[in-house]
Amino acid sequence: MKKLYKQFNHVKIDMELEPMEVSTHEKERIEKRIFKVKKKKYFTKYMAAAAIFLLATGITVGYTFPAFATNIPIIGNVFSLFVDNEKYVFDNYGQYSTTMGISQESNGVEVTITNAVYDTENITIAYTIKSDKSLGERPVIEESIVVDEFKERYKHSGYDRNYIVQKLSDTEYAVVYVYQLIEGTKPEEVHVKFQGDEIIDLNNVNNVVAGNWSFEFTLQALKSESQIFQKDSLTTEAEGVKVAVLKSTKTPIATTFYMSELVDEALLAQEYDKVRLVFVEYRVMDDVGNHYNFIHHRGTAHSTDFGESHINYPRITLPAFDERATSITITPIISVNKVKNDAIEGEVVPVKEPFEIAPIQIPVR
Amino acid sequence: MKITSDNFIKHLKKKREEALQYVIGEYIGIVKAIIYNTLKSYNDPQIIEECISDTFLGAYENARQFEGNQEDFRKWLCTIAKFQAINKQRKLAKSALFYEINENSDTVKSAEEEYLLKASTEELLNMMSQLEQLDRDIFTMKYFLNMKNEEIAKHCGLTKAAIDNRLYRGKKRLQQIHLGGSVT
Repeated sequence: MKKLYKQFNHVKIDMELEPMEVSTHEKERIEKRIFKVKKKKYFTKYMAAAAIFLLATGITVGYTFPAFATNIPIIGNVFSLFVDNEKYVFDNYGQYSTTMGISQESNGVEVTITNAVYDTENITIAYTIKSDKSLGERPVIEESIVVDEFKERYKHSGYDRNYIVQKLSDTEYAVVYVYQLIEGTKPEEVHVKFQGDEIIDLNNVNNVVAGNWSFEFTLQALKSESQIFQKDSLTTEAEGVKVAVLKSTKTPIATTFYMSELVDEALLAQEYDKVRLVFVEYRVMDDVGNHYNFIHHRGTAHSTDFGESHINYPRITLPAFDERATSITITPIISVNKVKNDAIEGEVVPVKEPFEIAPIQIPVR
Repeated sequence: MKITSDNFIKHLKKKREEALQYVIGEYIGIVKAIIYNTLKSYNDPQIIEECISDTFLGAYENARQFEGNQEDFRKWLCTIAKFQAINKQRKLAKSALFYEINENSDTVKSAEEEYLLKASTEELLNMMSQLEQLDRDIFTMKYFLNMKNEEIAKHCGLTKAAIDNRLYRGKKRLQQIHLGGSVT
């Protein structure tokens, strides 16, 4: 929001209004409210700061401060914590990731990066958050990630992020953060600056802890192998939806399929004058009957806002396949929605039941 | 140290409480007028008072973002007041009235949506930074301050058609920037 206040400098609207009468009572009430809110904010901030100071003076002996090496907590390989999660795709990550164990503490919250891996498709960072109080259900670092090698490419977003959070106890959490590289060169080595000034609970965004966590590390690229599929060889088309698989990239830890989705929203919804949104979800199986978890990078999605013939380029990242499998089947599931009452930020209601279209079979041997 | 019209900005930036007190005393009338004008239809003095205090807190907490002199400060504060009022209005429009019984209404946003909304505001601001200064201002007026195209035209000294045109082209440009990126 800071930017908005800065932007207001330029706008400077001159209100041609007469100031209104404000009674002493009213003014007192408003002042009371302002100073109450302000005190509350500052009190907690300073108390926490004081507590850290006391703690820090005790702890610094034996550690290099502020980033100190730690024994990776009881949990060992963080990736193994997520086996039950529906986004879990990390079977091979533990083996290939770089073990880091760098910690930083700020405002009573200790963040430890345990592992990180760069496979030219994604930068995946596993970290734990430890605090002396509860941080909610799904706290993550509101991060910014700077990679020197990418230069200005990702300055205005242009990448996709996924967070998978596991609550270990009331005050301890593990997070796997997947930063998807959308375009451009894939250097052999990346110098990553991973930093944030807030920890935010994804289940309640008003639950924020300010602080300053900042990490720097270097990662080597894993070997990757790409295959570009012949045009229109892996395509499915029905009722105004066309889905194709364009390319696959295999690394020791995962396989990513590059897809394209073209949706004729008007045809699908049988309606021509309202805002509509189409979601394409997927189900992934192999020919020996295994279901796969995957990370779905959704791209820009579909809505009438994007105009005609807008193509979306999502990606699906799968874990290593069953050795017996010879093909992977991706089934698109389409749901069509519209905005209720045409409100700008209104709720979305389905136009009809979600339906599946013919699956795409991708040979993997 | 006495806070006066000459030094209050400096002290506000340093987060001195006395400076905030001074700003409240000096500008509470105009801030109330702006907020009252936007929110009067709700006929709820409580909401207006809440909004006034949000305006001053916003200015206090973001004082470092402010650039300019005393006259600029008044305008800056007025802009914040307008923004807070519009923001409040949006929130109120979204919350269902208690006497309305509508089983299908699900106005509570999921945390995920709320997060995305917050993220998209940030993202919009990021993308807006690629536009020309004038377009950026027009976008701010249109989407954060809810001003009508006529009002924006008057403010910028342009015709309404020019504003329509710039908004249209700006949106196209943002869309192009956005298509290079992602929303999830």
